[in-house]
Amino acid sequence: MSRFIPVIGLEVHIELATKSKMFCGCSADHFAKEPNTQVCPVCLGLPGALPYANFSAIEQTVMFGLSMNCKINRFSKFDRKHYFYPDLPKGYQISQYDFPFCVKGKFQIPNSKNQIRIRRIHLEEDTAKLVHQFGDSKEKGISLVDFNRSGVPLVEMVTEPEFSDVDSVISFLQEIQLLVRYLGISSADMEKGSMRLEANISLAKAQKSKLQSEDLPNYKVELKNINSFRFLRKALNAEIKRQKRILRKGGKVTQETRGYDEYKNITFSQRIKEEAMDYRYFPEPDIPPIRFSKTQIEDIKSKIPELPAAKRKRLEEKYGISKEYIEILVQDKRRCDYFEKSCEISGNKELSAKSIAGALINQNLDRKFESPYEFIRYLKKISKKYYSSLKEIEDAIQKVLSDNSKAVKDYHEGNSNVIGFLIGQVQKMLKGRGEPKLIRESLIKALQKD
Amino acid sequence: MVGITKDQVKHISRLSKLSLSKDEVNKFQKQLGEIVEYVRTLELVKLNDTAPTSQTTELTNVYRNDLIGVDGLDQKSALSGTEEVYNGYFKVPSIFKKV
Repeated sequence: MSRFIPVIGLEVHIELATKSKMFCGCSADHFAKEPNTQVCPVCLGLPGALPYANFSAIEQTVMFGLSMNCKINRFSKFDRKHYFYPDLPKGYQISQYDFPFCVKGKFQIPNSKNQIRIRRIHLEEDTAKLVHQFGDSKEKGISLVDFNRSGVPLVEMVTEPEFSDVDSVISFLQEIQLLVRYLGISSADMEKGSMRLEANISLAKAQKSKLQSEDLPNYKVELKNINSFRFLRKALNAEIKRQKRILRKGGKVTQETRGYDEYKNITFSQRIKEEAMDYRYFPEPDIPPIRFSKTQIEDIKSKIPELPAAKRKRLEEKYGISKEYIEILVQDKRRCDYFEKSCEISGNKELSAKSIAGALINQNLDRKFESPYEFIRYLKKISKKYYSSLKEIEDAIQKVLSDNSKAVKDYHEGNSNVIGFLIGQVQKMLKGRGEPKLIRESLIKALQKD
Repeated sequence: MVGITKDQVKHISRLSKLSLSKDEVNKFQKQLGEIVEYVRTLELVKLNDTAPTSQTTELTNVYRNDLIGVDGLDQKSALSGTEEVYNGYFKVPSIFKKV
């Protein structure tokens, strides 16, 4: 029986968290708002309205591209992509065609040796939101349109079809979500639709263990409308199974778009592409092209914070804590900052980074103590199992003073150097449990009373 | 005259969601063909020394800052130009065919 290797590529859409929309000043924060209350002639597509590009959105797209090791096109422009649908009142979407902001990137899959090449990252406007109401048997269903989402800046990233296993797809996507959150350019929340996934998948017959480019299949099936990592994993596995079954019987897989039915755990046909989509792209005449200077790109680059991959490496080198702890901290930037601040405060003397991380993660002490200072003070307190009481200290001092009358005499004759020796003797009697400062104070008091 | 083919007319009508009768296909084939032919006169212009461009204004980098504007429409005005509304939404025929 022949072996098949999955060939998977991804398309990821991310809504940018700008204040205003891509081409107008309406609020871009559209989730759960009253329908059609954040709209204007531009995002409603009314005749004569002119788009006016939001620079923050462009900057954030370039920042994302640089983080994905992309080349930034020094010359870029917007284009009109035409199609006919009720969520698109202009009859076209302003997108980017032949000069996207970012091209030819590469990105490391976490915990893997494999890199995935990024084909392009471009910026476009989101469409209106459609709500479908299915009527009863008499009434025909209707569709409802809310334009609050129309015109929200939307970044699209396209990878090369270089994934050959589902685990890599999921860890890649989770890393993208984390990266975007580190950059602060999107909440990348899939339930709210600010991160959306699409995968194209086909199976290649493997002649040898490694895939040769000539073995690439001549079809692909697109999986769309999948709104969680868990469902994507299931959908991909179900689709791989389906395609294997067809190919083993000597059949041909139809090129089409499929959705995923979570109840039946199968994919189902949504649309068969009879002819190649004809979007009739042309340059958007209402938006002048964009030229970046080298310094501008450098400037954007300098705004990129430490990213998850670099953070993992640094945490390992600097603190030597376990991979599990590192991952928990990297996933939660605030928690990681708290941890690092705590290590800084503790000064690495009495408390190891490991014990700080352990207490923080296993006991959730960062929730109990708002400030890392309080946290560390608490840790120091509990790490010394037992402190000698004042009474124990005073008793020990009396004993030491009577046992070392020579030293006491020296002290009264002006040799204050003996104090150190006496403190050492007291501490020895207390088995090291005395607080040095308290011993010193009590000792001097006792000597002066003598 | 090169013009355009009947298949091209049908393709364009499909993209525009227009259904054309046979007579209309013939009619638009002729009209669209004439338009294409007219635009073709541009080929007479000598462009050897002209760099290609996608625009004519010569402007670049026209941006605005990320600020919320005050020129938005309220829901009532936004919906005022449409025929049917439903709970603050624009109402359109179902985009799903009945199965």
